[in-house]
Amino acid sequence: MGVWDAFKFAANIYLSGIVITFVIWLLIVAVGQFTKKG
Amino acid sequence: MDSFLNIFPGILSFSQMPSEMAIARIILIGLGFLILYMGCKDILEPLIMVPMGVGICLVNAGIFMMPDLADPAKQKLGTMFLDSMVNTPTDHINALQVYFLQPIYALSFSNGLIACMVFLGIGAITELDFFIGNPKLRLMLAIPAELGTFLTFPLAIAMGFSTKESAAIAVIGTADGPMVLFSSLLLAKNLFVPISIISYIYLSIVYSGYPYLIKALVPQKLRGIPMKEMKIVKVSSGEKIAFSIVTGTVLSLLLPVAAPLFVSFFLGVIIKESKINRYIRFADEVLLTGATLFLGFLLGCLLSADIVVNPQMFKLIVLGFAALFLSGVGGLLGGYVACWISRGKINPLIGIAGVSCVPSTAKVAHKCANAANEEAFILPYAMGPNIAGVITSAILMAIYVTKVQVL
Repeated sequence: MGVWDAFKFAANIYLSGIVITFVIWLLIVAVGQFTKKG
Repeated sequence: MDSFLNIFPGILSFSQMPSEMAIARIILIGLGFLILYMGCKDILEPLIMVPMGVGICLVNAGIFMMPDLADPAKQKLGTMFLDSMVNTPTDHINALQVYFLQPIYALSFSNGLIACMVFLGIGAITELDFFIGNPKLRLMLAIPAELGTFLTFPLAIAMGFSTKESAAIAVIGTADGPMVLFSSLLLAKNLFVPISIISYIYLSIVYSGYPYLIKALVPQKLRGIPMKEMKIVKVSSGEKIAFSIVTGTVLSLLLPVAAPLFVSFFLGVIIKESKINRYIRFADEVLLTGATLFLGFLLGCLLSADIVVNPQMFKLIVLGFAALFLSGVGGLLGGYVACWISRGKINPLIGIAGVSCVPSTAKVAHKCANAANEEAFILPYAMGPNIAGVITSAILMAIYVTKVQVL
């Protein structure tokens, strides 16, 4: 793997991390709404 | 002279090994003393560094000619501590009979159990209010603080490491010891010892090193923002338990390779929030304390001269520094953005707390803010990104392991 490919690969992982972090945030909001209603 | 040396095989062993190894041994014994001293003086994190310093000193002193387990007719230089290079089941069984630390190494290190025990203990002492109270801000601050995890990978590739080794090295940027241990065991077992030791030594230096980075990048006026207008939202135990079980399940579904770490952390949180005091005491006082002690001691005992004379060691020292430096810079940049969006209400120093390393980076942020302005008490605000940093670190580590293993 070349350095530029490695950079793109790491950027891809970083972006995937941001997406999953966004999912975590949505989960927190959803759980918060659900438990408050309960 | 020979008969004198035969009485003391540890001293004799210096003449039985190559001169560079003998010199490295002496340096390591000195390094062990230095780490022990700095740990005792609180310059380095004492919980890990004190047992590690003892381990480095004694393992490098106690080397002598002993029977080779693979071929008892032959002799080789070794210690009575442990052998991390045994491969076959027979060698494993033989090693368990000889080396006194082999059972702990074989049953808790090589499978990542010790990292999970530390995570369970951390979960049992983590206050999730700081994180769940304002998750958007906390997570937003934790993401840029992973800059080192991102940029160290291409740097390691440029220095000639393989894809798996580079991923294991990049995880140093997550600034989370158990995570580094876990990933290096999965991805680069050959570099597990140097990567883990460098990572833990650097993480111990974070407490004294990051203040210089903060002073260099953040002016005193911004460092002293007191954050009095911000509030910590209290969250019910039920909400924290629901969050833990839902998030743990979803993360395990998405990234099964890191499920042992997720389940350990969230089990710890659930034990804490369920208020089962006996379990909380066990997870904190027994499991976390015991795992931390053996983690430090075994890592010290694994640092032998042959690892230090490895030419890759210098590259790892440079890359480990780069990973934590870049993550610190990324964290502060995130803090600047948060400060700008909030129109100066948020102290940018809480950004560096996003670099995981619970709770050292949060304490560093608070210490620097308090030094700039006595009214600035930002520790509770810094703990939020700190916990978010643990979660984002686990996510990035898991993605690295998943994607690299697929390659």
